[in-house]
Amino acid sequence: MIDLKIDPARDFPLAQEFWAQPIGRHSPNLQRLMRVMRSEPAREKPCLMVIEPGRKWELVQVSGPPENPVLSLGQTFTSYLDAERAVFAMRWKKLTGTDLESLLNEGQDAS
Amino acid sequence: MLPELSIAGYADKLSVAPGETIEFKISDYSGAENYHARLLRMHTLDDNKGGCGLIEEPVGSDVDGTYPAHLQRTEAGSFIRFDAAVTPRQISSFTVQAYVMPTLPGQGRQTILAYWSESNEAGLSFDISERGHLQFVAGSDVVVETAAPLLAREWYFVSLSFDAETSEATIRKRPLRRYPRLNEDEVARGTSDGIEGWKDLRLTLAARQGHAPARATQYFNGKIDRLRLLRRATGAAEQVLLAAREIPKDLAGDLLGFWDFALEQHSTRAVDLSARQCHGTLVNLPTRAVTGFNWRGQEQDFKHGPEYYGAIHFHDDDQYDVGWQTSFAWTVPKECPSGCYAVKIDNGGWPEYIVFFVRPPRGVTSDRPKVAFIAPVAHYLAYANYRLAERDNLSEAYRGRLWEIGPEDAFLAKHREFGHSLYELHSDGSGVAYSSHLRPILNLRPNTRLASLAGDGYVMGFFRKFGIEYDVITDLDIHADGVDLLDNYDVLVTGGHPEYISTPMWDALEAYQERGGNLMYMGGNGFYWRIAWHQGLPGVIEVRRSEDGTRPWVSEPGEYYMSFNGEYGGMWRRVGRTPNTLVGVGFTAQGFDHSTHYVRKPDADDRRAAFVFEGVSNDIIGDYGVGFGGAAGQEIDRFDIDLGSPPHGLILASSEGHTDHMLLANEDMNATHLMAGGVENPLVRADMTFFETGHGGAVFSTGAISWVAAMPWDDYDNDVARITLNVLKKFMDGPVFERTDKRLP
Repeated sequence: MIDLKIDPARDFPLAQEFWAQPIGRHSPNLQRLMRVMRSEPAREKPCLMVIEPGRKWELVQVSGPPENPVLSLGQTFTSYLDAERAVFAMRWKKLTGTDLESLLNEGQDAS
Repeated sequence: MLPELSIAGYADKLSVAPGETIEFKISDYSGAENYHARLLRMHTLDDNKGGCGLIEEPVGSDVDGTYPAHLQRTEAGSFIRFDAAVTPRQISSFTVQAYVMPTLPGQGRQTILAYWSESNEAGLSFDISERGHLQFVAGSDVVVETAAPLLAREWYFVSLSFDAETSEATIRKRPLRRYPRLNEDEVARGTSDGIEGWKDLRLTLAARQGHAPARATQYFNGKIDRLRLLRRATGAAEQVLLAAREIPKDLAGDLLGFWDFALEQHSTRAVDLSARQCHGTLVNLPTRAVTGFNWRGQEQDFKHGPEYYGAIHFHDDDQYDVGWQTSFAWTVPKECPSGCYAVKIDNGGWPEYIVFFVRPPRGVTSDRPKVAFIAPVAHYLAYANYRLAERDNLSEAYRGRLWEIGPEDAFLAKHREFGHSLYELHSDGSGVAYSSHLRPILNLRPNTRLASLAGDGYVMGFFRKFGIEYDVITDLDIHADGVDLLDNYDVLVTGGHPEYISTPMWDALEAYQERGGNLMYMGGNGFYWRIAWHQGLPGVIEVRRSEDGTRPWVSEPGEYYMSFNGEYGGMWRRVGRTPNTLVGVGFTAQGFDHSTHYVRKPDADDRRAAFVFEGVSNDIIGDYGVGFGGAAGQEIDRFDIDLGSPPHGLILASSEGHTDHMLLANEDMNATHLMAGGVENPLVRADMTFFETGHGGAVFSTGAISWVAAMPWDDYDNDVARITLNVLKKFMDGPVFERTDKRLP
């Protein structure tokens, strides 16, 4: 994990930026935040198993034993961008202890 | 419940001609009683949303049917074996010695040399123990071992001498680089009285003979150099003499083996210089043409300094040919159209496809279509079994989006024995330099994460959509047949990523251009790595990640020349032939988060290129596509006269709007800096390029892998497909272009 801290109050606008456009040009600060989030150990990293190309994905983790290394995390998506948002929210919760989606729904700053 | 793949297979050929037979080898991992097989023509190779759908056409062949399922055994790991006839099958006193550089000492028992009887489960083995100590194992006994473990990636002189008369065994260890109290000379002695009467022994190097049906066990990881075997015990002084490159006259009569791995580096033969001529056979292609114990930069080319290149690098996960039994075969009918085909095998789980290509008939030069599609099988081999489910901590950060895998990647993660791609590291951290197709290749299938294969399907789907007749010729066909094969066609069309090119392939394409042929380079990062096809073994390529380039690993110093053919390996750009000279553009950046679009440039108004844009009125081209949302992305190329782009070339359009994940190729960055990303760096762009060649031919280059993945958008009703069709139809007219250095208003 990259040794840079995420501050839920300071970085909440970056979460909003990501939520609006998970893929594409991002501000330098959002790029930094994404590097922090995406640098977690490989065994803890969620990734997507493609069930139907471009249409359906299942969230998985490559953390199982050698005879069955890929484990389902129990969530499926029909939108790739929604999968990115869901993983972002999971990581936000893990790194800040706050629930991002409720903050976004409230439309208020995490502070 | 995740979808699960539990069946695998491969064919003995990637390219087969009408009249020839292709054999399929299948293994079931589900315990099913039967599986079904069906031969299909593959008109496309991907079912992605926004694409053209996966179009499979049943061929109706005699391979269609139900077959009994069974498991076929697979073993990885390289070693040297010997025919029983060339080695004595009984031994009493002996000396074994070598220079060794273990790369994974302490990670499993590993054998340097063994004389072992599979049937009697007896014999001798000179090993590195599970804890990294040198050991002499006689039968089930450890006779003697050294006190200090070997250090990884350090060279040692090691010897084992056994005197049957005194029953005394001596191991000597001499590190070539000493660290006080950590890595010092050592002599260890022990006795064994159980050696007399060993019979039916089989010699192996770098592994020990396995119990049937295993080929071997205790695979060695690392380098071995100047391996010697003598039929009597020796002391330190004689061992110094034996370590010379030439046979010491006084010891010649007692030699059982005096191997010089610097000889015949291109082959699978381990040459023995002793009078016994105990030549060995390399199994599963350990890496050759590697530096030996005495290499200090004296030479860079193994051909010029063989005395410094006496080592072989063995790996416990080397794989060349899994050697499965043939399950069924298909003789390609004489009238079979050239194209992409697959056998679909289904055991009730996730189905598997074994993809191959039917090439045009050999020797036939008339009645061919005007167009040939070049199936980049060298590229498929380079990426064969790219292990998507086994990436490192930073892979997602590099990519800039979630990592995606398929059921086939999950299956591959359970099967290291299927071997690696040229993007992987061996278990000891060294780069994988060889890749073959005589093994299951899990990502050579429809709906693969190997984007370039899906893209090649979009090109074939494009031909089908617009009724274009075409042949498929593979890299290997061009390598073997040369320009004579290419001369049959008015247009050659590449796929999205023709990255790995042998010298005969390059020469053939260059000659084709100079003889008036037209070339459509439909991708990015093409003509980038120089490869060698093995000259004796079927279906295997070599790459060296030399000197420079955007690459997953770096060749060791002194190991830049390819063992298969002796050529300097690495980037074509670094051997003085840039892709720009062949196709007008060369690799400039890569990024896999997001693709973007092209913007029409002033050269698009040049009369020379008017045919390209017929029916295209938009300035923005390709802001859509299956390949990350645009026609310009993944890996992209730029026009650059300094790198050999032709001065009369036209830049018809260039991409814009890339993200900072689209990063400048490191070969264009002499010193690192922060402006490598697509937001700031002006070199980060794809240039759509056109230029005329000699004798009426021309080249059109898209400059991006994502181009072909934009073609099927809206069922091929879009500007990217229209431009491609305009160029193709013009090029099908033959050598009609006039070479000019002028811009024509």
